[in-house]
Amino acid sequence: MTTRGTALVAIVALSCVALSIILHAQGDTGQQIKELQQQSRDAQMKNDASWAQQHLADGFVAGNSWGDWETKDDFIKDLQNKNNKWKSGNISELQVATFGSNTVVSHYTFTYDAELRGTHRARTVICSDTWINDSGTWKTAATHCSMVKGK
Amino acid sequence: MKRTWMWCFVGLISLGSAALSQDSTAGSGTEKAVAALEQQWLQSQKTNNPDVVAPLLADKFVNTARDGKVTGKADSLAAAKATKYDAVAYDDVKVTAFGGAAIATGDFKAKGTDSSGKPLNTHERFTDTWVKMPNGQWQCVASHQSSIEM
Repeated sequence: MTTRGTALVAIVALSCVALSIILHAQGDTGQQIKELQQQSRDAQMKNDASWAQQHLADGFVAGNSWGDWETKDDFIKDLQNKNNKWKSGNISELQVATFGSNTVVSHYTFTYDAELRGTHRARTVICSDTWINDSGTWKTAATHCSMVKGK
Repeated sequence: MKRTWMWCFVGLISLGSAALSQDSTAGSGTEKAVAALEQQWLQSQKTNNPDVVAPLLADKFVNTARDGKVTGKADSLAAAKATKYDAVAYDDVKVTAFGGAAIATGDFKAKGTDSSGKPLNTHERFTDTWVKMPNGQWQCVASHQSSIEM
């Protein structure tokens, strides 16, 4: 085999290895985000503000299903508000789409029953969350939900 | 033999650059660039011309409407084509950059006729997720709207 031929084979082999690593990483990322998504809801159910502090990006914005915007600070204050009580909350139909190595968008259905800011809300919402990789830590940059059923 | 290693080295550098190209984006100007694309989207609605917005949507684009209906790029463009706006406006548009991604939020008011032929009079909030693609172009990968409760 000529020198050029050897180099070509080496490049093709390296490309295959790199592609395999990228595909494997995307699979891992999808699973990681699914777990984080569940953790996020578990933390919300427990009014665990520390999880949110750690996993919401600076600049985070939430668009809730009744049309309000919330910043990271607003969201954390809501979690710390003892008058907000979660009776139940379940995620279903979770789908994850990766874009490069640093951005993931998840879509899911969230059915909950809660007392929020003095209003009883028992509803099913459909949500889109954007996750970004911030120096190796996945953080939520945005969440937005729309009501599909309930009050 | 030296040449072989040189070619291998060049190959490795190329692969590394390709893998990292999506990480080393953003910085200053991202907000302006994405805000301009949002204006282009508005223009497509003002002129009832979805061809203007089509190149801004990624192939994997997902739209979640205020009623929870989820559609991909083709169906979203078909719905846009069937919708006739008489008046449309964005308000309070904000863009926040996160490396190679950006989030645009804003208010959307529109009057006209929806894709099913019914009168349309809506006031919504939207969140758009934009990603800088490997070719350097920003594309919207997800858009989510919700109605504002009165």
